[in-house]
Amino acid sequence: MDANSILIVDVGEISTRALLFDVVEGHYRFIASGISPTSFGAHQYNIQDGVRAAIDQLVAISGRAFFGEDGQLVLPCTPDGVGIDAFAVTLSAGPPVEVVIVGLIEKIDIESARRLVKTTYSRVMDVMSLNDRRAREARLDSILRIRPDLIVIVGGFDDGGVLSVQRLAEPVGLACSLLTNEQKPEVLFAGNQSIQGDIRSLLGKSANLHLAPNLRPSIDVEQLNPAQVVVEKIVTNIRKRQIPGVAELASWAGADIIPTSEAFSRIIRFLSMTLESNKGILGIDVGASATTIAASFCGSLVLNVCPEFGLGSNLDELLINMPLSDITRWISLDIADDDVRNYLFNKSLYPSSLPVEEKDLAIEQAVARQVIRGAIKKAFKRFPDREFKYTKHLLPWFEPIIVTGSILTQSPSVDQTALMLIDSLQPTGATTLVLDHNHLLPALGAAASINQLMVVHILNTDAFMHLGTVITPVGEAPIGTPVLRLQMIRDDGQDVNLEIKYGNLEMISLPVGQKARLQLHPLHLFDVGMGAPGRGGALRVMGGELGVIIDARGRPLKLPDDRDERSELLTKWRRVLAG
Amino acid sequence: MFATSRYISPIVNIRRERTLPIPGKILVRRGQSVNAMDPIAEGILNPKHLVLNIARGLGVSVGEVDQHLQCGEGVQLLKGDIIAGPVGRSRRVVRAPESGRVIQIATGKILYEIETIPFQLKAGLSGNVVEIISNRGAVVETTGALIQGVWGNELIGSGNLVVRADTSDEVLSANKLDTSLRGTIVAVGTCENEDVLKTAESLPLRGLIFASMRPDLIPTAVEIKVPVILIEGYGNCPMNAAAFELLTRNNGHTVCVNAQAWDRYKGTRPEIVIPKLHLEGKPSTDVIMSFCPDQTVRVTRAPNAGQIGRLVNLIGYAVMPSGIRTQAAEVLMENDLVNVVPLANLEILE
Repeated sequence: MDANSILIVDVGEISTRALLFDVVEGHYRFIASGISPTSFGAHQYNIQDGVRAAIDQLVAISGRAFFGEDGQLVLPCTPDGVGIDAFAVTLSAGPPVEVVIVGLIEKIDIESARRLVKTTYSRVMDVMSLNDRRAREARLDSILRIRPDLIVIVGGFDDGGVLSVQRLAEPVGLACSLLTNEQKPEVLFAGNQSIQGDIRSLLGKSANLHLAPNLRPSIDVEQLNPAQVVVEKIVTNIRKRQIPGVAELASWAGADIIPTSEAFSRIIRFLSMTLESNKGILGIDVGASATTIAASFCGSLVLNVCPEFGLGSNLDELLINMPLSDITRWISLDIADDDVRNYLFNKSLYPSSLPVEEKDLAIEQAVARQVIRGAIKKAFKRFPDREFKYTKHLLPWFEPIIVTGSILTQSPSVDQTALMLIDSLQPTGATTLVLDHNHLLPALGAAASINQLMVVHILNTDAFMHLGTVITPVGEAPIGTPVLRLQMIRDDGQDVNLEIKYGNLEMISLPVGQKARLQLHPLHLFDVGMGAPGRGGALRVMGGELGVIIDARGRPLKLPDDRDERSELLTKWRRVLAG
Repeated sequence: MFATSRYISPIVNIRRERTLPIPGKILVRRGQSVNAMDPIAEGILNPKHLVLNIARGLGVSVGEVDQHLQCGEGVQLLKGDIIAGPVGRSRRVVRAPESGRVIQIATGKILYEIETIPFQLKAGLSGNVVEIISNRGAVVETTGALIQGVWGNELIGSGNLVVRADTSDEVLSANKLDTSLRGTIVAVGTCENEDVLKTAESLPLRGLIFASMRPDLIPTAVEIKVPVILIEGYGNCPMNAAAFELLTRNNGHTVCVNAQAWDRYKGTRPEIVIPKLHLEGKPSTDVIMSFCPDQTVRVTRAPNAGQIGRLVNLIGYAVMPSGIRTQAAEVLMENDLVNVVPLANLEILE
């Protein structure tokens, strides 16, 4: 039977949220949320304290009681309204899972293994392949030195040879036999299925062995999804060992805890299958532990979790992945490079701290642009080659783009949020920007396995903030050339006609609750995602916080090299969206 | 709302669990008095192994290997000791290539661990061993002043404290470090120059305590063999008044610097301990704290980063000059002005 009231707890690196969903007048609604700092960093560092505090706040807001007199969560809800019908937990707190990959060929099975581990909060510490010139003993010592959380063994097509994979797996078996029980890594074998038995004989006794279907059953087929489900369970097991309180929380939930990225991706895939869109659906979660990109194209999911682009304690490593100038180019204020560098490192010490001054906010938003940009670029390679995009170097056509994360939801104004997104994602064609300001998406992903109807109902409520529709004509022209004629006829009869020049950013007001018809006429073979370059058409758009934004600044967006000129332009764009 | 907290305390009971990441040998006993630099346990962090093919070495079949072995699993050998053999007229033998230990014998091969210098886990603070953690380490307890920092280069040191600054924001230059400081732990405002770190190593000093340091100096700070601790953070943030006063007051005393990493998951922080075993300290708290009026707090980020104040009032939500709306508190700062500070930018001083 479907549960009526559902409590979902999301434990992030910085905040723990408790979200309550229930039936109101025959429809499921998001009722309220409670929030608390995640408690692993305190003296006791047990995450249950933060969870209890978040639920206590929810109790204060909602007037509901969830715990019985014995202090235990009441499941299911009693006739007098105490408790909850279903409970689930999503978790992103925790250090990146340290992984060693063992496989045959870098460009084939190892590449697939890298993609697999990128679907969760992980960091690859070593890769051992056929080309690895290290002696077997050196590979053994490497595993013993790293003491990874997870070893992924891949390689071999299902009808292929077996000896090489077995030989590569030997140091893993030796290492596992030398490690104590508490140090033994989880080992996932997702290679040639015909040697599963041999792998079980080799590793079954010495390692915590998990088996999954071959990631590369043949050279031209990659199947990540079945192994992804196994990895999700493995990561939860690792967290239970690593973080005090997770195992106890799992016993509250009565089911496995779901990694937040997995829950987030579930809802993006769900939307992709339910929305009748011939474009992809893009979800972005900019978190402290990682930036997660989940893109779904007709039900096919691309999930990329990037701990290297988290806004939390790993911020001090950001400059390994990008030069400082990539960040400072987005700052219109006069701030010394040293100040920006100091900011990044100090923020890594106090990831939950907030910008009080305008200067700090400018740095923080510049960093956000670059982490989103960095994460989306990493996912680019996995987006489909054709049909969904203008060129392979630009963001594919997406409708809608749904985003969450405190840096976006806590922004002082929605225009700042929207500009961060447009600057970093650089969308193409026509898309809608939706802000999950209540941080509901991972919760709905977790709830999807409990009650799908609830998910459908919530997605159709105003629990999400519609930032606006973004129209981006793509093509090449000199600055100032008209590239798009646009007519917007609002349902109340008012109409607006605009000629958009290349290089400009424009905004037309269309308040929340109103609807309009957009007629687009691209010029000079510019492409607005309506089937072909130069092809126009009509769009039905809904009002949003910022109405309709037309971004003709070019793709990829190029900023002037001259600092003053750049600063002037950034200020101008900000003013356009600020209205 | 839960608060992060840290100790900058003149006298407190300090109890620290010190453990190896791998099983090892315990070198202390319960009740023993230890100094910060004393090893309390040792273990092999970076083992080196060899696989010795005995069958091939002796020129026999895999099945025959067992009858020629001169040692079993777990046996410790010296370089040149016979592992297997002699076999045949030529009396072929397989000898230990290095001193080490036989780990496993299987399928005609031996997994052999070469003897390496074990990693020695130091006590990290001077005090008494109050508990032994089997195969892993011990719990060390002491009473003294405690200053917790934000970053450390993972080394441990002990020596006499020399506060080489008149003000909490004084920049240390290399020419202020001379041979008279050899073997001491120097505390100062900020470090802006790589030469300071290199000079400290060449003297050598036994420790450096900075309020702050330029982040581009981290690689050098990690490279040198002198423990380095940052109290405040990166850049040129002055040392908070409480820490500076505490260090100045203890100028010349023996201090222990444990520059371990700040690990939120393990609950460890870099620490400076000034043992005062003859005094009685209040027990360190072990509970999660929430903000409330009259607490002594430290501001973690600009404006007023590093400054200490008294929490006057929790005011609920407030809008900051940046436009961010967040839960905040009124804090009476050192300059007697009351500032509104986000709770997220405060930590409680214990």
